[in-house]
Amino acid sequence: MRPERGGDGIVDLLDRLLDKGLLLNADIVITVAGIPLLGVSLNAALAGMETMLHHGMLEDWDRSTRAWHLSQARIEPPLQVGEILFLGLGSIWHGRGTLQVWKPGIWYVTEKELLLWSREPASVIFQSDLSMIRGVIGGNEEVSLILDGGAERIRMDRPEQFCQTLAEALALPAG
Amino acid sequence: MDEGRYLYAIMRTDQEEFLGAIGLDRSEVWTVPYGDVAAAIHRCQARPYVSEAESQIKDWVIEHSYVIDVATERFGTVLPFSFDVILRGDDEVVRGWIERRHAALNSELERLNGKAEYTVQLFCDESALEEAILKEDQDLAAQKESIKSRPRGSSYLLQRGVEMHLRDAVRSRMNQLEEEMGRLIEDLADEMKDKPRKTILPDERFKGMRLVANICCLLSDESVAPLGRALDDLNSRKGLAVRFTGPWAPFNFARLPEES
Repeated sequence: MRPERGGDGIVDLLDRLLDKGLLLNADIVITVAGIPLLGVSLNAALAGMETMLHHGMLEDWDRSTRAWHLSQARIEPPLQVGEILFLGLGSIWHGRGTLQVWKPGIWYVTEKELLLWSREPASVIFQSDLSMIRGVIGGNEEVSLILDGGAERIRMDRPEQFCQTLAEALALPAG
Repeated sequence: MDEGRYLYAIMRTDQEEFLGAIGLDRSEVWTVPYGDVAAAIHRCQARPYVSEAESQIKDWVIEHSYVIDVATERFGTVLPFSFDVILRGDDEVVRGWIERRHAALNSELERLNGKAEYTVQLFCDESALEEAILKEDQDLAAQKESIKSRPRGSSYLLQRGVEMHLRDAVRSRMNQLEEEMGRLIEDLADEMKDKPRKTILPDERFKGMRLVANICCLLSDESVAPLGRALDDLNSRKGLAVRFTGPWAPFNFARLPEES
């Protein structure tokens, strides 16, 4: 038999183009939540298929693939006990050292903490107890997070909602 | 908005060349070389291609893939980029990007030269497999037969037993088949990867069949025909069907050096 590419080849293409192939580590733009994340580590699994599936872009394309994807065991972020108030894709500016990048991940705002989680490799990119956060300033593309030790530049897919949620959470009694 | 360069692939050429208006949304695709290594790009804004519409994404994926095919035909094996990888900046930024990784890209092109990626999937018809097992295992077949002559109720446990036995036999047969196919490929491939058993939408031929093995491999051009012949045997067995796809650019095998 000979290898073919006809017929249902589009599935094989999607599988490769959205999930595989070369990715870059710096100075790039990828699709995350419709916002350009510049200079992210594309080894992060937020690229490709995961992103598409996350945003339901392939909703009706292949439900079974989606179901499979969702069923894959994954490591959950080490959140302290508390209700999750906000969940969304985003990134944080990593401006130290020679590699200046937006590191992508998933923002979690809970009653206790703010955390940016990378699924692959599973790791905490940023974490702060709410008690350490002094304020949050919303912007068009970027949000400034004011901490005891200084400020962090962060981004997310729904900055307004993020800022509002965080501001409300910060007003909660520390506990 | 800043300008950007959408990246399709890395290939071996020292020429700056127009490949045609064959990119995403019919963008003009050019090669941008540094030394003898070049990137196929189109000029765009530093903004990712995003769409809520599946058909749009499908079109883009097909266009991206077409550029890779054209580049492969023209320059030999390329290192394909994932969809939607965009460098912020102009052609000089692309050149600089290649320059910083020239040695690694060069050796990667060398390593993959004359090779391509293929996927081999083995599907099996479970009921045909069951039949074959019953044909070989006379005892089991006899037990199954005897159930019919017993009064209802008393046959229930026996039936469960036979079913479980049969299911185990089917499962171990599937494992054997998976291993057998793995060995066939291992003998001929430069590299192979077990792909997750994702549900792949199979065409009509494989409807109702079960995916038993799903292997992605890197093959030298001269190994393709021998593998095809080796798979013929599996494909011709009753209840089995092999899906052999390719050649694809080495999406699963091209590697970039880690950035320090």
